[in-house]
Amino acid sequence: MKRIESKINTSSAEFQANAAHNRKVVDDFRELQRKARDDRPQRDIDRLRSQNKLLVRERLKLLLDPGTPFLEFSSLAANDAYDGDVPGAACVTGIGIVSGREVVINAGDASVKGGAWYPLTVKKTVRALDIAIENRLPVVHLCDSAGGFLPLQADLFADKYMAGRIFRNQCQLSKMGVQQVSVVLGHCTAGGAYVPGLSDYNVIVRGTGAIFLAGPPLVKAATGEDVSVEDLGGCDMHTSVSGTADYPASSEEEAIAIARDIVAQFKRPQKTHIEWQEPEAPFYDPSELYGVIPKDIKQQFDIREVIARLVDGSRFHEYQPNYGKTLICGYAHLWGYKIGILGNNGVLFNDSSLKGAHFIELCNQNKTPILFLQNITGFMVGREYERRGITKDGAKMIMAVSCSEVPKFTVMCNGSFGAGNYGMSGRAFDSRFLFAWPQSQISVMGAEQAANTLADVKVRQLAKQGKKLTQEDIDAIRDPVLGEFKRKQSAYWSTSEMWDDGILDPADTRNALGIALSASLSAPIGDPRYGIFRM
Amino acid sequence: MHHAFKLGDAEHNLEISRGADGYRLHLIDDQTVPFDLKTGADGRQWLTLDGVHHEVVIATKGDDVFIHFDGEAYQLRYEHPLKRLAAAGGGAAEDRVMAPMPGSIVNVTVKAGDAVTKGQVLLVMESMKMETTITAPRDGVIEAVTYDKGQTFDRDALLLSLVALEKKK
Repeated sequence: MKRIESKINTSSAEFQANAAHNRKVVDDFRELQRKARDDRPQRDIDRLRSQNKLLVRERLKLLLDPGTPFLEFSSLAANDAYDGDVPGAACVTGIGIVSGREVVINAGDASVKGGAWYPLTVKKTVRALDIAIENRLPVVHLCDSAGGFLPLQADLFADKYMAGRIFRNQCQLSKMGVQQVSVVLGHCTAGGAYVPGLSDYNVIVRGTGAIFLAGPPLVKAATGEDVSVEDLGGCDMHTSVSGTADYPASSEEEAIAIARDIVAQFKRPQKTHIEWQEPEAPFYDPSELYGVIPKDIKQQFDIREVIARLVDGSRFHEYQPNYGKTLICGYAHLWGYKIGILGNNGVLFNDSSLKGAHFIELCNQNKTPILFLQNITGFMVGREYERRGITKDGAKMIMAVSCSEVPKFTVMCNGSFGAGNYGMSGRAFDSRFLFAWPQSQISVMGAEQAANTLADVKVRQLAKQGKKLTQEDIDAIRDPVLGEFKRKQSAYWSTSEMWDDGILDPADTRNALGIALSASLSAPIGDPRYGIFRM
Repeated sequence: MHHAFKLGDAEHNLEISRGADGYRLHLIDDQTVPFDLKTGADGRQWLTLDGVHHEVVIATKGDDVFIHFDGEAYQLRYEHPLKRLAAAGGGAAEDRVMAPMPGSIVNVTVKAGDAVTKGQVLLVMESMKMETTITAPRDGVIEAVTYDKGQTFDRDALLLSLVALEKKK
């Protein structure tokens, strides 16, 4: 496997300008992330302190093995929703190392609205448990929630992927033989009570932890019974009478230490064997990615320059280097793991689509996980390409992506427009993990094109009625569409809606993918089987 | 395994295989020489060549290998066989710069007769809303530029052609 030879001049003015621009973009992202993680109203912090409670980040620090990485999911979830009042969607999820085991963490954040479940809290929790299911990872739940946010109950309760899905997923995990621990650090009321109820091991803190289907006020209203929190669903009642919880703890510190000891009893998984070799740092520094990514999203760049800054030794075995050149395919190692990579170098043509489909089949045949690096404006359009069957060739690629059995990973490196998003394993195509770079954009078509198309339709409609629009009228149609499109195609909107598993600093991508790859190998890889490829 | 190194300007091809005690170096006349390289607990490196121990200092930076051996300093450059073989046969195919996709010319920054260096921007084209910069595949002189700013072209159209610097002279 030979090294990619970078064609970038790192001392050029263009590189320096890109680097300065992108460092600013990343700094802004880091600041937003810091705010979402740490900035809380003082009164919420005071309230938790007066209850002898730790903040969620302090709990995580006690839970995770010291000095090990924590891959947090969707740190900016819900950031563009609910007027920004529910940072991180009021919960923290991710993959961390507890007692030497890779586990999924699902932790309520009681410093945000008492840890109430908003619709996006539910979405984030369901996604974390989907990750646990897909990758067969044990789960540690740190429970501290005020319960469902009642004003929005219609958006979080009854539908297929709403709150019930959390409990359904817990049952599926258990059925698969994947273990779960709940640490009850606050109240688990109503639906929330089923999180410990469906876990294999439960630890509960005396005084602050409680589990019940209805709290004292609701019981009073329903049956007239007068009962205290401790008596109704406290630590001693559940660990000595009902058997709903297993381990009493006198403090949060003790509860978390018990949870660590429980995880230490788990059998370590037999990881799926794939080609692996001693890891090697990339020859080209990953921080040079800041200079590789152009300032203007319309500017094409060679995706090999990105690959060179992600993979071991910057070495890449390029498959079909002379065919379908707008899609770069090939093998590399990342943190030692052998992977196949598909990266865009322009729009997808017939030949690049076929090359992609073929390469995905190769990776499945020899059980090589696949990394998709998206920078795509879509499939080629026009008479000639339709005649050559661009639609059916694109369909072949989508078929190969959909039916792929090996773990897939997707990084939104820059643009992700139109059906290209699908062909390159977008969110709907079950990549085990999907990350986005902060300057990346996603939409069904470019903002300008969409605004012009809509204005065009309107002009023609009115022309039929014999009316004519002035430029001002046209702008009045165009501008709001343009604004709305621009807002909703930004990575911050995507990540707020959890169309990804989080935004990454490009320079961190290699490490995040290393953790993701390792986690994905806790699940076996099935044999490939596809539907009909339209020939 | 086949390996190639450059020592100064001279290229050396090496064939090595695993042996009972480390490795074997294969010489042209089917002779083999056993050798091994070990790092002691004190960090000193020892090269064992045909049963004789020599202390060496070896440092690598990318493909460059710096060696201090027997009072002399050497600099080797490791060459990947794929790269070396490609370079040996290469050239002509890179003289013609073809359009990677249909589109139009946004800007041409060179004209016929200009000397260009590898990686230099030759022209900027646009296709499907994206701008692509075409750079020189190698050092050379521009022989011809096919399209002007604003003109459209099909995929695989010849955009530019290059000739070698020497050929022009």
